[in-house]
Amino acid sequence: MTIPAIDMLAILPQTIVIVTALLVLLVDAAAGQARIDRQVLPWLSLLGLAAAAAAAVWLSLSGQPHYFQEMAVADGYSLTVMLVILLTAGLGVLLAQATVPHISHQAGAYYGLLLLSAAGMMFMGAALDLLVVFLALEILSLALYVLVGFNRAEARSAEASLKYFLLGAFSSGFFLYGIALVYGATASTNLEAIGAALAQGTGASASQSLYLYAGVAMLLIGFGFKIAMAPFHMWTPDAYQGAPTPVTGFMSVATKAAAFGAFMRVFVIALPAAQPQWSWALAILATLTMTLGNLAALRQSSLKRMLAYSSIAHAGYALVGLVPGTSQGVSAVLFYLFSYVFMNLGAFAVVTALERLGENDVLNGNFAGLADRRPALAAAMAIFMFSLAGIPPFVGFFAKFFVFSAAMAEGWGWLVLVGVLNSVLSAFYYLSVTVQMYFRKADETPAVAEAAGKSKPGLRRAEGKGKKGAAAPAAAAQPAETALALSTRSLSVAVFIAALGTVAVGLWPAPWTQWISQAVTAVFGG
Amino acid sequence: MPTIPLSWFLLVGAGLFSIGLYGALARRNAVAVLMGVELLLNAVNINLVAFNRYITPAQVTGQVFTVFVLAIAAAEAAVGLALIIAIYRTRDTVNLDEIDLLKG
Repeated sequence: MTIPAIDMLAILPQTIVIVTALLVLLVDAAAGQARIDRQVLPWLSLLGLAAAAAAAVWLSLSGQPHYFQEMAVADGYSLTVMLVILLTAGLGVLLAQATVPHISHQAGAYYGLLLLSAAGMMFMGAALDLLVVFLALEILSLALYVLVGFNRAEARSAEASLKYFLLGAFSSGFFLYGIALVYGATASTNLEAIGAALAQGTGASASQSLYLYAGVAMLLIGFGFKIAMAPFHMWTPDAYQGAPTPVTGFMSVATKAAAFGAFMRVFVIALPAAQPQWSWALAILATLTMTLGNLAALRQSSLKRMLAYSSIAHAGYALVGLVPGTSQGVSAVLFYLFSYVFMNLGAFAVVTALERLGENDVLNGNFAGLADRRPALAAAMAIFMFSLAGIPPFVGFFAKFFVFSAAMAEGWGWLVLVGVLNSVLSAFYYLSVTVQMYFRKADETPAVAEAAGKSKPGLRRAEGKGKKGAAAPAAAAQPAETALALSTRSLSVAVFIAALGTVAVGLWPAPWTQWISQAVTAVFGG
Repeated sequence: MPTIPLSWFLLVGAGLFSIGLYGALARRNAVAVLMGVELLLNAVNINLVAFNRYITPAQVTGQVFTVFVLAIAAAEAAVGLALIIAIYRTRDTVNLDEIDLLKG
């Protein structure tokens, strides 16, 4: 028996991330005895992510796609998805660096899980077989379930984690059933083989088309849960609000990128035969998702919950790009996900910076007068809000523009109209945050004192071991002031990178769109 | 070819899936919901193995898939039970109706 030749280069970036995750866990375990400062763990993680990104860039510059048997591939498309995820994970590590020491002693587990989850997400983008899609989905989800519940002192964190877990496991049951039915209809789980079988007319008999359409619907449910598509979005606000804010920032962006990465490949490569049906289903679901997300976001008092509903709405905008099923649409969605990294993670970075020690949320009132107290942070938040609302020249405008024009090109005019109306609707709540920051005085906010009143056990513990010893007692002494005890240098760096990306990619979108559309055309055809 | 038609197996799978669905949606105890979810995965396993036997008897795609699903189901049960214990320690209940700090 011979061992088949395996092109290990095809999974090089993922391997680097997984090895880094194991290394982080090892260093964490040895840190006590070897007297290593656990502060090296985030830097080690960043180093691994940077190495993986370098490997991904190197692979994509070499031009040839590398296949890992018929299971995974490193082509332009998957490498672009990977780079988006690596960027998100890097920013996620920077955010976590400010918070993790305050919520847990187990920094190694945090970074290890974050990296493992990122590796699962990268496999989502690279998957060529439904088996790999399923495994990658579970790897990323299992790591995220634990990360969401990472704040042991906070009851909401555990609750968010349980809700996310139960609904996530439930949805993966549907997803798996969908895979089984598509396998039954086409006799294969390989995406290209499924596409080829359907093109040849397999799946046309009555029982086969029953399996096929039921299977496609169930795959849609499974992906819909992961990207937070209505009506499968119920877990999103709870999980996003209860999770530690750096985790929320990471999962809101990276999970979407990964799930869309697999979603688009499965639907456009394997299931073009059923496209008339799924296009309509997606158009209706996108309408529902945008409208529900924006309407619910309008009446939130917690900023994290508002951003959670806003991320549901953004899943709807991105879905609009997938509706036509063209490669122009796929590139538009990919650009959307790329720009979403900067604007959404930036917004969550600002939330992290504004949280008091031991608190895990920011109420709308806490923003009042921020421009006077911290002008740079307020300016950054204003940029993110404008960009999320889709106001030029920030990147969010171009992201929406490309997605809508891809849908327009295939005659989905009404859907674009719904999207534009929803953007107008969303401007209300994004701009109200900006108005609060710039035109309200801090002392008009009773909500601040109320939020400070319920201090948790975690608050006291965190103060004791807080690195910024001077800032922590000050936070306790003056609860009415919005204490900014958590802001550290890495957090400022993250906010700066996100703001820079939001502005710079908005002003010069051409090189990025060119890279993405080249990568997509090579895989999805002209 | 075996004498029992494929559709019988698929019906058993669909029936089991429906029972799991009922368990996951109607039960309020988190452990029972988890059991419902495990039933969903096992229902799919029956489908996968049956499809493998009837549609691609020469290959083992479905069988291999089933082995992976079993591993994933075990991992999911481990994480799920750990989360349920974590929530029991803070709230003294595993009733989903009483776990309601987050809403709105």
